[in-house]
Amino acid sequence: MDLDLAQFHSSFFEESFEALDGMEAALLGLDVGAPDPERVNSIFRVAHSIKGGAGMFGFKDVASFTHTLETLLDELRSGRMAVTRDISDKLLVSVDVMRAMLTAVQRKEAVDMQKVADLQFDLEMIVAQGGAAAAAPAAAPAAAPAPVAASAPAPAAAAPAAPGVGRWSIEFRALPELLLRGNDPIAIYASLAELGKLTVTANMEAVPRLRSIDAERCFLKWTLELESDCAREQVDAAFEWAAVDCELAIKRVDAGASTPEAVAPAPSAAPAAAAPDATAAPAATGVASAPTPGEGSVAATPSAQSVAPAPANSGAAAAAKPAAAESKEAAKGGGEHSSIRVSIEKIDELINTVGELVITQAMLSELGRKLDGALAEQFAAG
Amino acid sequence: MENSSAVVLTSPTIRTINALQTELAERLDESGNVQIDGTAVDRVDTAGLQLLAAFVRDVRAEQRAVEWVGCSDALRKAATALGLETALCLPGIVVLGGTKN
Repeated sequence: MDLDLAQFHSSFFEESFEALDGMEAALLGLDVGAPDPERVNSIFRVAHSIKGGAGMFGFKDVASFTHTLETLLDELRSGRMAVTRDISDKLLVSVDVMRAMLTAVQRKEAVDMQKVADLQFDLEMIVAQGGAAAAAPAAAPAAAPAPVAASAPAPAAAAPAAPGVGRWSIEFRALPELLLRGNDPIAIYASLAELGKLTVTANMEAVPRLRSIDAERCFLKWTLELESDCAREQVDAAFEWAAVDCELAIKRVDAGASTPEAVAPAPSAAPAAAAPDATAAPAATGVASAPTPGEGSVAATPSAQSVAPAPANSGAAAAAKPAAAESKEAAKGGGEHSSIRVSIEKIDELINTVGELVITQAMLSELGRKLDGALAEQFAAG
Repeated sequence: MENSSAVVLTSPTIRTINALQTELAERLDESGNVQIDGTAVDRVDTAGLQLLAAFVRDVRAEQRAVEWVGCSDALRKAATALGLETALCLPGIVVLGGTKN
């Protein structure tokens, strides 16, 4: 059965233009630096919906552009990147570009793909550089002769450090539920240590006294220094499973110079539990390094420095997740309840698929109403 | 100050954390220095190490010493991975202003 999807185009365009109006209003009201999470979510949903519809109807350029935009918005809503004025401006320009693209598709006119490609490139650079690139295009002369020239300075200005000096600074605070969900920072740090030399500093300020601590919950906070020229995505991947159960700030620090634009909002204040002991050392440092395990931490003697890296399949690291997972079942009464961890990408795919099923069902119902007689009965019976 | 009998650790993980917390709280109520035997630890996780670190901190806050009788590789690696060797006063760690075990 051939379905004429064109009959649904008008609805798609109408809804998309309305959604873009809402997205624009939300962007204009966005409080840069301290954005309302729900507002960021609503902006994300617009891009997500348009991407899904455009993909279904075969508007590939629209789908491709909104996919890039959605990726950036996902970074913002997850807190992995901060909303800066430059990013906000880029998002507003993106609304204009999407309107122009949809209008061109609707009217079957040509669209200025150079402009689209330039903006898409800028958005991709912002994501790749964790927000640092956003400032570069904005700093370019406004009257740059051509879009390509305007975007050219971005990668150069925010170019990654030369090999050997790449450095990542990571602030990680586990939310109390992290351990109960089967995640364990030991395994996370083992993954990071595979990327380069990792120095771990634990902060115990928020850990309650032994007698009062809820021992199944995590109150530790860590500062991690990773010496690696790896991509941001590789660092993100290590925290993938813990993303919803932690406060995380990742920034690239090259040759001692920080890039504040790349910093996600710093973790908020530690949990209310007060430091129980002013004399207790608040922090400790450890080094886990794949290539050079022997390099030192401040308070360690040589014997303690010679600590082997903690690979993902080491005893401690490997044991961490199963043990936590088992305990989760035990804590809930002999495993009557269980859960699985699913990546955000898979959830997105699932939502897309369900959305397409709903639309297809609506289209089939519409077609079914035009049938009559035996054919209609056969259609209704599936 | 005399030592009490050693706390023997085997598998300080979230699965056994409540029993361990009870035992450590009892040790906290005792007087004297505390010995911890981590020789037999074959499995440990963040929950276990967090609890042990809280215990060590609370013991030291009472001007009592913590002494490790032994420490397995698994325990040391996990403590290192979490940056908690100093907080745990593991053997071979110099605690500034404190005791060298």
